[in-house]
Amino acid sequence: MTTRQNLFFSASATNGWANRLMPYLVGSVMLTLMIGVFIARAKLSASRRAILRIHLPTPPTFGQIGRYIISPDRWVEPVRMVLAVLIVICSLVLWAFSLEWVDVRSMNNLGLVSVLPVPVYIALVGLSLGFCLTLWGLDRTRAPVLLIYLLALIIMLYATPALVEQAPRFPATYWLAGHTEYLLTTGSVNPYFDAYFNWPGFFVLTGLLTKITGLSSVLAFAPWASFVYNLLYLGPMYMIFSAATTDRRTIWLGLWFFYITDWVWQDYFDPQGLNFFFYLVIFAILLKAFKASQSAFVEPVVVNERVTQTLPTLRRGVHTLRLLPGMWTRALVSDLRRGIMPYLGEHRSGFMGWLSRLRAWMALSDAPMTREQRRRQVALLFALLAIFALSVFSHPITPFFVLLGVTARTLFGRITPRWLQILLAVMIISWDFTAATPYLGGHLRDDLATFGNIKVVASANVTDRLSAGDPEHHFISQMRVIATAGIWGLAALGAMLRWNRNAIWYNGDTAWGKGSLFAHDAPFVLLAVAPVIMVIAQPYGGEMAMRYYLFSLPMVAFFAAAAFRSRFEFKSFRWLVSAKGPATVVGIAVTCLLLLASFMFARYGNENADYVTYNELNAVSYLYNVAPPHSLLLQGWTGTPWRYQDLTKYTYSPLYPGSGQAAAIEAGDVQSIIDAAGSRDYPAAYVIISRSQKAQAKMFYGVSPAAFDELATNLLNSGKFTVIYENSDAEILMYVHPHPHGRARTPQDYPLQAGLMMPRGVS
Amino acid sequence: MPSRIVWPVVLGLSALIAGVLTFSVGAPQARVVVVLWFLLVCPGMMLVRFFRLRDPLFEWILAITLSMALDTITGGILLYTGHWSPNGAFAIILGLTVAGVFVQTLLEFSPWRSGAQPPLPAEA
Repeated sequence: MTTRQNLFFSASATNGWANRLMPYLVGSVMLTLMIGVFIARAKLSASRRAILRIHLPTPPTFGQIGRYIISPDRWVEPVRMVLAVLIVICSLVLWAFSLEWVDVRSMNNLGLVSVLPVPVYIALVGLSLGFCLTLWGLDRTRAPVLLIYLLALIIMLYATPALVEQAPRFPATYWLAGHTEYLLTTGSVNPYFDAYFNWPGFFVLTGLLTKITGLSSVLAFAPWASFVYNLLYLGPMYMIFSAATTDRRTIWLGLWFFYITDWVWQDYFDPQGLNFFFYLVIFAILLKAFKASQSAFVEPVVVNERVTQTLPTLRRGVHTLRLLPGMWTRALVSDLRRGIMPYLGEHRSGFMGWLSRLRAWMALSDAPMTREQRRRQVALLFALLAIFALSVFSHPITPFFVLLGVTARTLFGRITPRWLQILLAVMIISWDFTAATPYLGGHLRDDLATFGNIKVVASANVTDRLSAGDPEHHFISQMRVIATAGIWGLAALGAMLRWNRNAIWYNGDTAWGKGSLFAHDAPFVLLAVAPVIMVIAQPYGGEMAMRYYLFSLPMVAFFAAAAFRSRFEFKSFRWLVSAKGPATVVGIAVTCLLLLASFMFARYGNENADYVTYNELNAVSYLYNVAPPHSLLLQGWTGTPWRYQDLTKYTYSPLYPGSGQAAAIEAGDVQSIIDAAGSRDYPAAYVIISRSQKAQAKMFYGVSPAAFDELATNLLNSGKFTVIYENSDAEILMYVHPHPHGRARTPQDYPLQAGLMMPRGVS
Repeated sequence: MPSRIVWPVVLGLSALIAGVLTFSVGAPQARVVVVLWFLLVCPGMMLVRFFRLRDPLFEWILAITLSMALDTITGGILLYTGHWSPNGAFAIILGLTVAGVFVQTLLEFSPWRSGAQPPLPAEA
């Protein structure tokens, strides 16, 4: 059993059954208290309603009071609520105890799924079904219960790796921790050394939190980043969904869909996860406080005669599909007119005309507001700009996603102030062309070279990812495609059904459009669609498609939920597919379970390569203790949990720089390694080979772990290398050579070690 | 306790305890909890109280985000002016929060803000 200990406390304090049981006891007490609060609240409100209804001429008899107390109407709702909460508690307890049996070391390339015990799945299925049943009978008092379900889901899905794995997962986490460590030790950033230092906001924040809380390293809270980020996403997403609909079932189901489809792992301890939260908050503010007056979009516009004539056919559904393209185009043109044309003016041409149109656009009046509302909006605008400034300061990509979303919404006239996107663009340019010039100076030409190159983009984002790896990884890749296609397909259906439902209303024999076919959903469709420009523009090392998936996911999840809340126009079966019909509830449950299953494979499919053991960290820590400054540190493959300290003190390199690494390792070529290690540029050279390197090489390139063992043997047989450290998960080889810059280092300087030497911040 | 003074009291006490735990007393576990609470909620909540949003969810979301913004921007200014100091940044944030709470309290109890109308003179 390799359950991770709580990093905030010493290891000795967390040993023993009492301490192990403590979290469960505390959790159970808290949940019991919650149940008590809900029951009390439900009973109180029921009593209040009952007292208001009853006007007895005389005081009630004991019999009347007794019948009132035991009447089923009074108890059904609280009992249902208690049952709903009990399902959550049982699922959580079952899940928590089952984690004790997880042995991550027996994981195969299917990932975490291969080692999770059956009770964990039973708990997840129970939670999903409980959620669907609670959603089905949703009324005013059940919303908090749904919140508990969501919180339980977030704990079970996003806290599991932190609880079952030994050290913080994912090698990039250590590299990012190294940036924070660099800032804390040097008091500066070096934008020429690494691109991340051009946008150092994340490291400033984590550095402050680490130092002021008195923790020794940012690695102490890094494992919990995913869980905390996902908790943070909940609030702004609820606000965004609430702005899109008043139907609470759609809101809660949309939130549930988000959490069971967010498989892209952009929420580990990195600036992207935090900036996605800023992105959500910015749009929550815009949708809450800056949306343009709805009255502008509800003026009736007569739909053309063809639509009016074909109205009965339209209702049948089949012919709707035939008419969609034309209606869609008209809607688009109408929206563009409403959004852009009022600002353009029609009387002048040339530069003066452009200037006058710009002035008219800037001066376009907003919806009338009271003084108090205006003051609040100004304050919120400053808050929004402060949050955006933080995003510009801490991440290169997220501000562009925000800008695209805001621009699209402004062009369609959906938010005010209409000059906002100009200000946001100025903020991005100001930072990128001043503080971030060290990065742009070296990369702008390359970035522009790939701009809009669809072939490069498609190759980096899709084909390279799907074609590489061993058969199990192929299966995981396919699951990711299926999960993505599934949620996007549902979203398309939901958007179409909402559009079909909202598009036209009738007055006698005349059909009217609600101002626009996109009258209400357009801002939300735009939020999902507009960022696709980023994918076309830049491959971003093959990750932009994943970023797009993340940024579009909230609205995609919302429309996917809407698919279950919009009636199909089948009169005969309306009872079956109505909003609360049994088929809908079964459909929701089956969809939830399918998406959940695909999520477990898609999200945790790479876990065998991503988890890190204490043994691997021991090896890296030993390396830092013995390697003199400016040494060459070579890794067998990517995946070494290093660079969490001394970021600029050493030269880090792969064994075979450039492409063809897999072939070189399988060929067992040692001469190039000896040549690199023997360079006079370095006082010493080391090769580290670890478990996660072998796992990554096998998973993504099909390289056998035996090839690494053979390579190590060849290096030792060359007589140029010797083993200075080894344990079951890692070994370190040192290059032995006399060096003119100092005393020659020999194996005697590095007695063979297998002890525990954990890095700072990891207990 | 009237609701309008609950947050000023909570913010003031949080600032006091966080300051004491950081600059003088040890108590590492309590310090982690209190300092995280202070840095991730209090500065933003101090600002948000001025907005008078009347929506608790919106207030909390903004409080957390603005706290991060205020912490990072303060630290960033110190970093780019060559005066990086986590304790210095913390002291500035502490000062800003306390000053904000002070102004808020003044506004809450000022005669202009209360909206209370002076009593009409009694008719003869």
